Parts: sequence; C-alpha cells; structure tokens
Amino acid sequence: MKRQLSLLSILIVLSMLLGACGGVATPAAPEPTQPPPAATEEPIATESPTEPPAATEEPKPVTITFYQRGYVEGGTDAGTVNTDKAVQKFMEANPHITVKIVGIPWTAEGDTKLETALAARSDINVFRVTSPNLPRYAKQGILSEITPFLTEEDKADFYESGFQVATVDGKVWAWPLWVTAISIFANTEIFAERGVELPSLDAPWTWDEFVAAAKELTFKRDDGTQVFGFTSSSKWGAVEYYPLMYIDGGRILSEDGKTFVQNQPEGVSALDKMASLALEHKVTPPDFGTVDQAGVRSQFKDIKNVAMLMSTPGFIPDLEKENFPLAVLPPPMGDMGTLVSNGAMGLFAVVDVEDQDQLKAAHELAKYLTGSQVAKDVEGWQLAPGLRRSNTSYATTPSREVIAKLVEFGVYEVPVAVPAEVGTNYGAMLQAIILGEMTGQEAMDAIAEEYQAALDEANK
Amino acid sequence: MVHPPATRPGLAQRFVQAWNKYKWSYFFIFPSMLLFFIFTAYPVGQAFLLAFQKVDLRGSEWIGLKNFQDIFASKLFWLSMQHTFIYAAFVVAAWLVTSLLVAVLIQPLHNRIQSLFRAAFYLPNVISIVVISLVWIWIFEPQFGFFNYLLSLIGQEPVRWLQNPRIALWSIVLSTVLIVPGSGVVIYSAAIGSIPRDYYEAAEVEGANGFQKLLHITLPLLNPTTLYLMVIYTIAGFQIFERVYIMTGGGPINRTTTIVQLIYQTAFSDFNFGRASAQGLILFAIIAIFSMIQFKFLGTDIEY
Repeated sequence: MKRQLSLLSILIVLSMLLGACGGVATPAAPEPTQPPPAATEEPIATESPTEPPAATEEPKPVTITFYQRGYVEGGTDAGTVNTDKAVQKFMEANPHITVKIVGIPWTAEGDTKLETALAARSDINVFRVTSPNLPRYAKQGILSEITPFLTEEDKADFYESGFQVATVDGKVWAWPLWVTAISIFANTEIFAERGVELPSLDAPWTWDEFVAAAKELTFKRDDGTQVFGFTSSSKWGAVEYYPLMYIDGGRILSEDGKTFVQNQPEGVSALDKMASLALEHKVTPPDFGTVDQAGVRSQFKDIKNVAMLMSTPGFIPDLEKENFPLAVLPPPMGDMGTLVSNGAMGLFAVVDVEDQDQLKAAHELAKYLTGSQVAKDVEGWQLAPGLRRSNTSYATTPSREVIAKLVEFGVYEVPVAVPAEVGTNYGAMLQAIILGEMTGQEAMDAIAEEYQAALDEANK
Repeated sequence: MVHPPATRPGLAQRFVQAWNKYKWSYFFIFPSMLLFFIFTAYPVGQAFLLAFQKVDLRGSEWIGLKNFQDIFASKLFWLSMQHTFIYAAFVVAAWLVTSLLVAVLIQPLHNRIQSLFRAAFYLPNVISIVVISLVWIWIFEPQFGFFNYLLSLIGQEPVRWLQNPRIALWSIVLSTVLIVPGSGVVIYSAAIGSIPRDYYEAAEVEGANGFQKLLHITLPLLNPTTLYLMVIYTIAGFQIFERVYIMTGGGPINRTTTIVQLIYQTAFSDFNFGRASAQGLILFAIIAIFSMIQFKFLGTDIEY
C-alpha cells in the first residue's frame, strides 16, 4: 500500500511539473490548415513590392506567425474560414513562405495573449493592432516601419487617413486595412409606421431635422411598447457615437496631436447637442450613456424598440442575414455644414525581428491582407470599406455603398500614446455629459489640464 | 563518580535523525508545498519585485517608489478606495447582522428544520457570482427589470439603478446584502449551539427575557466567531471585483470602480504590471492593518 501511495505521489508531482513546463507564455502556433503547394505550382499574382526572384535563385524558405483576432483553429465561422482562405492563397502565391495562424479572441484574454507574445518577441510576426495601442507599441520599438516596403503605387493607392492613424513620430507603423465608418442604421418599418422620410447622402439631415425625426420616432404603441428614436453604444470606452462629437467642427486633439482642443466652443457645442438627445429631447432609451454594443444591437435588432442606431458596419451582416428592414443613413450635419464620419481603423502591424527574410515575408503577408487582391481572392473578406482607392469590393449593396462613401468624410485623431488612466478619465467625462452630471464645458475643462499634461509628456 | 557531559549531536547528525524520522511526512507534503511555491509564493514574490519596476514590452527597469507616487497622486485610486471602503463597511455590517439574525431565529427549531434552513441559505454560495450578477442586471434593468416593475405597481417612476452615477454603487451594495451569506449562518449556528445551556437556564431563573439573554449571553460568547467572520468578510469586501466588473464595469463615470477593479484594469487593460503590483501591495497592507485592528479590539479569549 505504502509503495502504491509513493508511486501515486511521484506520478502526481511529475504530471504537475510536466504541466508547468507545457504552459509557456507564447501560445503554441497551430499548423497551417493545409500544406503549402509544391513550388512548381503557378503562383497567383499578388501585390508584392519586390521583384520576383531570378529563375536560378531559390528564395529561402521562411515561416512566419500570424496572430489573428477572432480566429479559431478548425472553426467554421466566416472570419476563420476567410482567414484560412486568405492565408492559403498567400502561401500559394509565395510558396517559400509558410504562415502559422494563432487565433486570439477580441477580449481582454486575447489582449493578454498578444502582449505576452509581443513581450517574448518570439513566434509572432503579423498581428491586428488597435489604434489606441499602436503608439505604445511603436514607441516601445516593437513594430517594423512599413515605409521601406511601400511602392509608389501603394502610396498613391492608400487614402491619407489610413496612413494618418498609423503614423507615430512621422513614421508609418501599420498596414491600413479598413475603416469601420460609423453610420446610422434605420428600421424602415418604424419609419414607415411614423411617416418619417429617410435622408440620403445627397440630402442629409441637419441637426434640427434629425432631432425632429428622432422625436417623431419616439412613441408608445397601443400595446404599451415604448419605441425610442435613437441610441448608440455609449458605455465607457464606446466610440460609436463619436461622429456626433465632430459635427460642429470640434476635435479632441489639434491636427498635430499636440493640444487638447475639445474644450473649445465647437467641441463643446457638439457634446451638448449629443447630451440633449437624452436630457432635453428624451429620444433615447433610459440606459443611454451606459449601454454597451451588445445591448443596443439587441434593442435595435431583436426587441425592435429603437428606430435609429448609430453603429459600425460589422453589424450589417447580422442584419442582412435576418432580412432586417434596414436603411443606412449618414450622420446628421452640424454647424460645420458637411457630413462627418469617424470609426476605428483595421490595421495590420509587423513585429520588428532581426531575421530579414522573416521580416520581409511578414510585410508581404500584411500587404496582401490589406490589399485589393485578397478582397478578390476571398469573398466576404472585406467587412468594412477598404482604405485603398483600388479596393471597391465592399460596396456590394445600397447600404454598403453609403458606408463606403462616408469614408471620404472621415475625421480621425492623430495617435498619441497617453497614459491609460487619462483615457479612462476622459471616457468618464463623456459619460458625465451624456448622463447630465456635467455640461460639455465643465467636463472638458475638468479633463483638459490632465490631458494636456499627458500630451506634453508624449510629445517631448 | 563524575559523568562525562552528554555530547550534543552535530547539525549533520541531527538532520539525518530528523530526516529518518520525518522523511515520509516531507514526502507527502511535497506536492502541496511545490504547488504552493509555484502558484503562490513565487507569484507573490514576483509581484513584490514588480511593484518597484517599470514593466513594458522592452523589459523592466527599477524605478524605486515611482509606482507608489503615481498611485497616490491618482484621483482614480482615491475614488476607488472610497468606493471600496463604502462597499466593505456596509456589506460587512449587513452580512454580520443578517447571518446572526438568521442563525438566532433558526436556533430554536428542530435539528432537521435547522439543517434545511442552513442548506437553503448556503445554496447561493455554490452558484457562480457571474450568474448571480447577470440575474441582478436583469432585476435592475431600467425598462423591463423586476424592481422597476414593482415600483410601477405603486405608481413610481422607473429608477436607473445601475445607470445613475449617484445610486449605482448603492445598487451593487444592495445586490450583495440582499443575499444572506450562508457561511455566516452556518458558522453562527454552530457557535450558538455550542454555548452551554446552563447559562441560559441560570438567566431564566433570574428572570431574563429572550432579548436580555441574546444581549448578555449569546453576543458576548460569540465574540470569537464574530471576529473571525468580520475578518473574512472584510477581506471579501475589500476584494470586491466580479460583481462590479459584470454589473457596471466600474462606471458610470467611474462611480463604482473599486480597488481590485482598478488593479485588474491597470494590469490587463493598460498592461502596466508594475503599477498594478504596487496597487496590490497597498491593498494587502490595508487588509493586514484592518485585520490587526479587528484582532486587537475584538480578540478576547473566551472559554466555556
């Protein structure tokens, strides 16, 4: 019995030790779903900036690791399938490059895995970078600059806004893929029920017209159901109502990213207008100001008690799948008198590594994934309007056409690495305005000093 | 006859003797000690070191007390401390009172009925706090929630329980104190059951009523139990996280941010591990100080 117990104890200890050894920080990269084709296969043309190698010179085989958000190894969801297809196409065109895909979720857990891999700087070459993190990674020397890998054709093809949001200290650090141009989604059945006419890109609403429509669309049905005219994800950290902040010509930062300017009159008046939707006009649900994206999307799509939702294009496939009575509207115009949109940029960054072959291969992959060719190779790859002029694959329906056209009205902030706590406090001030705890001027004045100090520090 | 002085065995010899005597004991505690060192002692030691370092993707560098200076200069830190203290104070007091009250009320019942009540009150302890928090979100939902439905029955306007920055923290406190802590009920029941009946009989002979017996016999003799529960409830109160994270995420306007929520945010949202470790050390110090104070003022030895 004693002997058996001893053996059992040893086994337990050994299994724990082995388990601990297996838990290395960098997640194990899965094998590619399909092996790369033989080198004799005809390569498909890609947007490779480099000259094809001479017939006598075999390119050196290289393996790179691609961290893809939302990818699940063996998964059957559209994102995973499209990623597999895109990588497969890339490897067919570049037989000497093997791409390993590591899936990470769009959650804090995914952020942690990504940070761990970046800290170890091993087995990670290409990854989706979010705009707020880009300046930090760039400043910390994690990223490889893309400029040496851009051709003149590329430079002319990309929209300026794409480069603008990827530029830190005068250098471009990521390949721009798309912009989630924010627009207003309308439930056309509710519009018809209330006899409200839809605006268009050519004849957009003024602010007053928008408020009047939202008021008309806020009503109680005979069965007691309360319908609200407008909502948007507005929990702390949400950005989906941001276009409204720019309609009067205000911005968060000056165009050079050195001064906090949202406490200026044009910034404050837009914030007060936004708050008035809930506080004065009462056209928003009672959770406006604290509700998250899932919450507002459920109200709009499932409960159907909201007539207009300001959101990102990523919601359109869900609505289309359910044949939702949808129209996409431009945001209303403010004092500036022109359309304004905003949104998050999809960017692919390349990790700076010493192996030049690997670095070059990683840039090739990032370039392919943000190019026009991938949109042709993989149907459904483009979930938002692309940031290349040549990439027109997104605008396949009237709704998507509106979103694609809104890209040219985009207003974006220069990326500046400010401490996260400043971002937290800024987000809290926006909430304070929407919830009526402070006026736009009070809130922006309250955060201005702290924000400016952070900008001064970042721009030293 | 003179006896030679007894020679004390040498260190090596004593080690061999101890090893021969206790080797199997060490062998059997080895797995748990190994786990303790890998998953507790080592991370705690690392956290202590990280608190004095700046950690980013390039590596780490020693910065002395800079993390602590930044923390004490942060308004959000003091706000989170304020929220944590308010939460802990109300929750600890409410939990102690409600668990004692329930334990006293079920004490005269038959053993089987007592067990039934203890099990019923303990049941929420085995349910995930995530599930409980999600249920509370629905109870507090401003349009269709249960609480606002009850208010509508008496003609009251709906309340934005988790959306109004002035009441969101109190809503979270309410959601916590409305669940009687089963562990407290079980522990108080056991403690009350172990108080000798003689004391109560003697008090009854002297003409004491039920309240007087509770005040002068039960409560004083429950002091060690109360101290124990107060300490563990205070620690739990200071460590409030899941409920806040799920129900409000620290908002609105940072009005429900607590210290552990801030630590989580600093570590896994801002990826500032040095500062998060320093915040963790501060929380550790606060809990330790509170526990010492509680032991000093309530730690009386009672024998019966």
